[in-house]
Amino acid sequence: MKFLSFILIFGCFLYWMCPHQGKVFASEARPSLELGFQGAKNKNQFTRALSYVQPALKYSSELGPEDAPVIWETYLKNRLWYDPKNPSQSTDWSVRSLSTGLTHSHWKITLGFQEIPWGETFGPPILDIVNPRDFRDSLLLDPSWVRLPTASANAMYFFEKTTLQVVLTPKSRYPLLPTPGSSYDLSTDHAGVLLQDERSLTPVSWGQGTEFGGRISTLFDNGIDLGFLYYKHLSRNPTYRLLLPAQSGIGSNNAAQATALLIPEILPVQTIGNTLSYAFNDFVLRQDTALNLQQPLQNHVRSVEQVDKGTQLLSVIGLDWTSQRNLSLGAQIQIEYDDSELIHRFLDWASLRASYPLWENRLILNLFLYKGINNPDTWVQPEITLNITDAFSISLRADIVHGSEDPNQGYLWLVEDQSRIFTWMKAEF
Amino acid sequence: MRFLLHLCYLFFLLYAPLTFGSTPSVDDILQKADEVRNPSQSYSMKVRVLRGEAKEFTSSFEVFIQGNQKTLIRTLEPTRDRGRNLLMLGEEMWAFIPNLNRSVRVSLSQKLTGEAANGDLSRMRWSGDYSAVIEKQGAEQWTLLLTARKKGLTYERIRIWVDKDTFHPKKAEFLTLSDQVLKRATYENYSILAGKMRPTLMRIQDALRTDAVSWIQVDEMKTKKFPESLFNQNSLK
Repeated sequence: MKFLSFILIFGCFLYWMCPHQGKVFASEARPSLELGFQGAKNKNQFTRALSYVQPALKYSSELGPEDAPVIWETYLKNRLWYDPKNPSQSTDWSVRSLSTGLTHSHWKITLGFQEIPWGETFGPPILDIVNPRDFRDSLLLDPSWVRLPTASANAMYFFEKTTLQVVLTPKSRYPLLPTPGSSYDLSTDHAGVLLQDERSLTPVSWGQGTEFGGRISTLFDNGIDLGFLYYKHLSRNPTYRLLLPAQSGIGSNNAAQATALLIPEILPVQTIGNTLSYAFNDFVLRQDTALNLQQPLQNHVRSVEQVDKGTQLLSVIGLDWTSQRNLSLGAQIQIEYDDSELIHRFLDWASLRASYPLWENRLILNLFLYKGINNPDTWVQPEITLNITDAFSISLRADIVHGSEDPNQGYLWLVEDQSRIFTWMKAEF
Repeated sequence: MRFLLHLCYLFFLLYAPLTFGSTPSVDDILQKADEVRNPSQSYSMKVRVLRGEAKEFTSSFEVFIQGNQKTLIRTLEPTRDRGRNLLMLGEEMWAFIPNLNRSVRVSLSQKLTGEAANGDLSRMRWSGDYSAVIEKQGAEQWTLLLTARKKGLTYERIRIWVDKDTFHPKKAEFLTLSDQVLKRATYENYSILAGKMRPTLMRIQDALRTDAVSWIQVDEMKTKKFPESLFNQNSLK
């Protein structure tokens, strides 16, 4: 409520500071509606049968005269879903966007619930750190679905080919971790261990855990787009601490009950990073690097020393090629170096991505391959999307995943045995 | 009387070449042909792309053009591509991908739709991008051969036919460096747009697959200034 009032006051302020208050030169409202269904089945059971409705409205108006235009835009998007297969959370209503902003001359400022995506590469979003993520379905990586909007102030200043961006999130938001009892609940494999829902953690209050940072990027005359960023935030990677019975104080008088707690560990982190892209002929080179300081690192779930804080270096470099017929092929190398008192590990992966639209985009074939080089992580994701009409599409994909039993040997141990068939039907109006 | 005759003679000597049969320079022709298609340095237009001789609707766009270097193309239809916007800054291009909710760098070979290349909408001015020579001069039209001044343009060479009276572009051939014809275009349905007679329909035909035809229909054109921040890859949403 406080936040809504703040947005209203901010909107009035923006309106007042415009050079021609009260005069709207042009305005346009663009409503849209998305209805959809996501279904998933692994080898044992249906794990997802989620129906959703997602109404959205973009309202833009021009407040300045034609020679000095001021554009005021407001976005509103909500998502309501129902999933009877989710044992502890069958319904969810979330604000995907509630923001207002001004674009004038060389600057743009936006305030409200919004997504602020950073990074140039595809696949693991190592620099997409402004917004936390929704890990309730750990195999679903679509950013428009899993990136959680934050209530932020986002100011950008554009000076010729340089962009300066400052972001402030007064109240940080926790990531959404797998819910207890769901397919991705890590405690289900361990008798006597109960996963604590992160929603039961003490909520962050206003003014506490403020996240802030910025980014500067320049497009050089030779075509290289280079950016550097800094952001102080809560950790975005899912890590857990095991609280033993004596410490947790539960279950000691009932052996059949859980006797230990698996508690999400969400800690403050500082990230320094850079982004780079360069297009030449039919190729695009992309690179992202993130240096996470004081990053919580998962060691071993069964151990009491399973989370350690340390320095983490992540880097992804990739090359894309696009043909005249829009066949697109991409290859990426990803490295991770973790260094803490207890953990010293180097992991690397290679990934390939192919996309081919056919029949004027009526049929789109996609393939994503992700393979650990020095670890057994494997993820194969073939996908076929059929755009039946301009508004209605059906996607069918498989997620074939394999990981190590040792958490120090990659990350896909988190989703081991979760290979599945996934379908997504969408109607957009 | 004699003085008046001398004055008339002097006037004739001075102005006759300008008014009777003088040939404008090739740069002037190109500039004036550009002015027919572009109302000003900064303008917007709403266009539809149609396919085949039956002119089947495929997509519609809102195009914002600032100078010769900055173009923003917003996809309005089809619904599934809504928000898939393209930004061109000189020879660099970005696409906004709605399901990523961010812009990604793309190569210039990414096609817009059908036979219409990005350059057909974004590169509306020839002068500046191309150097021109007059190849042929008929009674009613000039034939100009344009050669790209820089790398990264959609077409290396273009041959255009320009009407001598009105400077209206009538047709064009888009060529490779070895003069192989890639596509042919005609500029049709001249009518009043942004206060002047301009072509409202462009027919683009593949030179090899002659049945592959696309049309660009300009429905609306407005002279307009835009905030600089509109043409930035970081504010492409």
